[in-house]
Amino acid sequence: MSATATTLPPSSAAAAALTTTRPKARRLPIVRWASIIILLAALVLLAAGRWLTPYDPTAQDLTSVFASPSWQHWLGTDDLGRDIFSRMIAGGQATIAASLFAVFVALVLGLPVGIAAGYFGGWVDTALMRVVDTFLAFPAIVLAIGVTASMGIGLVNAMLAVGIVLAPAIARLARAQTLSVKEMTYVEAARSFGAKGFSGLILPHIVPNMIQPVIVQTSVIFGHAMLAEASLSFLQLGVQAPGSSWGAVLSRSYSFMSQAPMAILIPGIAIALMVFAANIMADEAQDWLDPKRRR
Amino acid sequence: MKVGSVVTGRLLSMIPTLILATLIVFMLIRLIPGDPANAIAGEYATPERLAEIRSQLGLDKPLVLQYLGWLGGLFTGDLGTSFMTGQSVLGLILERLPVTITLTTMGLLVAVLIGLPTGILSASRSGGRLDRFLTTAATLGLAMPNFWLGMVLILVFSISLGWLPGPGGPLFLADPVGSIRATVLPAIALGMVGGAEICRQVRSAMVEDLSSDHVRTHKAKGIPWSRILWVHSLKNSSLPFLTIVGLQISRLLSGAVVVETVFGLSGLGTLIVTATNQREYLIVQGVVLIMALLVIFTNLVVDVLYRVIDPRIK
Repeated sequence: MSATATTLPPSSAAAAALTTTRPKARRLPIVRWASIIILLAALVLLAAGRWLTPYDPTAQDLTSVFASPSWQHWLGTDDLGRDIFSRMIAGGQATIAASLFAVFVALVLGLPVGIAAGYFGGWVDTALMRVVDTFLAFPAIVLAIGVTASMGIGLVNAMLAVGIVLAPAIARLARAQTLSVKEMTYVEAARSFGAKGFSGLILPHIVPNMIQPVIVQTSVIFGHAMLAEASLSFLQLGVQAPGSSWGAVLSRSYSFMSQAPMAILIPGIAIALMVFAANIMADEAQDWLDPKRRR
Repeated sequence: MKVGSVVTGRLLSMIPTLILATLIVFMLIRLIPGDPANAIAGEYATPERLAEIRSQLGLDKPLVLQYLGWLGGLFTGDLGTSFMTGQSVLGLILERLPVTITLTTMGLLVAVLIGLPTGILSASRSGGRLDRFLTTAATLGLAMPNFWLGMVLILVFSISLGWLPGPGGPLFLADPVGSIRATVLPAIALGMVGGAEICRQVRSAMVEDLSSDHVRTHKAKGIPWSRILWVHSLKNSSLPFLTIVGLQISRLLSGAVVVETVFGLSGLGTLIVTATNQREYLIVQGVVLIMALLVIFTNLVVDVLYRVIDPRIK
């Protein structure tokens, strides 16, 4: 970490220190189990969402608008008489898939940049990190809106933008990890046997040893991506009608909040629980992977 | 250490960041697939209108010259004009800026007021029930979309109880008091998430400090626990606190964009969203640039404060 600290402005160096090894509170087991169940539910939603909807999520029934929760419509209906439960399932699938896509984009962009900066050092590091730090200066949603505005409004472009915005965090972490791993004796040993370059040294020796914290971080990034998707779809820059996502359901129910005030609660709680579970899992994984903190 | 020389040094080292930031903002319009002039003017635009837009954006010149021309415009405060109304982009931004700054500042205040005491409380009861509860609550707080929290607040305090005004608020310059009153609920919505983050980080920093040797010595000398907590340990945790507050600025501005839309506040957030829907690329570009500059300059202030507070950092 010391190598990082000397080359970064103090605020970012301290920011890196803030998120690493700090004491954490012991958590109740129920929180852990609840998080695992929520994430398993997310997997089911992602894999089988379209077969689980009791109604067509886009089918309108103008004879039963704003229906209260009942046996027919578990969570009631919206302003067009669409079944909210079905829209939540379809929307959940879209939200989770979109967030995973953004995480994928962030990894594809951030990992190579971070590894290259850490591995090559010198001016490559300075130049790459300057760019990364500059991206970090943009408020995430604002830059995402800027990119979406240019590339065109829609869920794919919005999540591509979110991926771009989240990539610097991955790059920073990958760089710090690469910096410490490349000084390890086993890397030195491999190098002395003539291992070099991407396929000889980086891929077989450095990447497997630096990747764990990055994997943990992807869980946190996934949570950020979900919140960003919700924000952008709420602003109607993400999912377009009649498509559904949790942000879009929230946006729709907000427009009719005075008629059906309770409808805003469901998508919000769903988003919060999912992000909560992702963050808890990241914490747990970090503890579990850290030999020093293993009880 | 002299503050003046610190500021000068940091200002100089900011130049590459500023150049890169302007480059990124400049390239935003160039991301538009196809001809930007077509995208702006729409399908049925006349060739004259297209030519006019191309010359306004400088699209007929080489890229480097376009950038330099745009940068030159920045120095004279020229961010272009609205394609629809012809208003100056800078004028539009300056009109909306006070609302966003008021909201962000009040949001930060809420975040500190929530995060600092709960963080200290959590650290002082480290490992106990209250600590577990506060830490879990903070993790839950971090997971909540701030704009959703805003909706819930409107539902409770505006629609049900009628205590505070709901969505919609006057421009700051037209009615400062009304504008601030309309900013209370959005600031709470915005600040809660930041408060959760501050709580977590303050707790971590203080738990670490409370287990250090100097605290043991203070205890041995018979200094009361409350004094150790609120004076000695809090002072040692001020640097991580400052860092996290600095990092919050960018997040608060990000959140402000969405929260403004929920509450119908006429700030930069609603401006950029409307501009995006109307394909007013120059306004979008202007807002992104101003927001980035705000973050870069607050980072500068945090950096300088850092060096002033902690003599070890050179």
